[in-house]
Amino acid sequence: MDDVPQRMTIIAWSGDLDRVWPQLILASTGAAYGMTTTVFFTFWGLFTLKRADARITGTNWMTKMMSAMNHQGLSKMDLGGVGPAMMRKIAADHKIAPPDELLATCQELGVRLWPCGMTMDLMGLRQDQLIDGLAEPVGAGTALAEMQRSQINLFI
Amino acid sequence: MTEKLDLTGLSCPMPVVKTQLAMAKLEAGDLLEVVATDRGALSDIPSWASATGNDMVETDDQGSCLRFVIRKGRASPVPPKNPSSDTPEAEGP
Repeated sequence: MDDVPQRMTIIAWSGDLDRVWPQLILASTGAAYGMTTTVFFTFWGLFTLKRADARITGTNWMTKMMSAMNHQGLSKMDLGGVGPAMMRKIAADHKIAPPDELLATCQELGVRLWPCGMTMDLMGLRQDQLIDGLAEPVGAGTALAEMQRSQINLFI
Repeated sequence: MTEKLDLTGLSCPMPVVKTQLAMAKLEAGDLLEVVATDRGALSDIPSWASATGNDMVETDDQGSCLRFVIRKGRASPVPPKNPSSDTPEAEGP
């Protein structure tokens, strides 16, 4: 066993449940293995960290588009259509932990959760509209520098 | 001392994750007895133990029920207290 902890970085770019699940399952497992584990939440991936009651503001065409895609300001963690509902049922039937429980477990294990500052600007989201216990927002450079020294880098 | 952990009904990644969380509270040399039903744990728990410097004392496959006894090693890493709030710049290379 190496003295220096191994590092894993996950770039979480999607907020869809079929991606949120592997993002959080692999992050929590990496941390349980003693790896310094970081998840950089960018673009639609940032929805995972948004408080359920936070509305996306923003005034330009892109933020309006993202707001429309993100119905009523609720993330797919809370709402979702038939697909996520079906996945939730499958998860419950097989006793797979729901994403919110996995996210809490990641925090308990010390996974570093990095919100993307650019995405926050794009969506008009402030830090107080995100869940507690996150790192300060960072940019692509910080995420890439972390990937550079990680043995495992995943783009999910 | 021997601590017991019942992970019956939990699926991947919870057997490994909950085992790590329980192990973090123990002292080197303590034993942790884990009961699980997820078949994946049969490979995952020994793999996790090997990667984290803990010793497998016993692996008991009774089909529907799996039992593991793990001894906490000296080098077993403890997750940092609250690294989520660490600023990335604060870390060395």
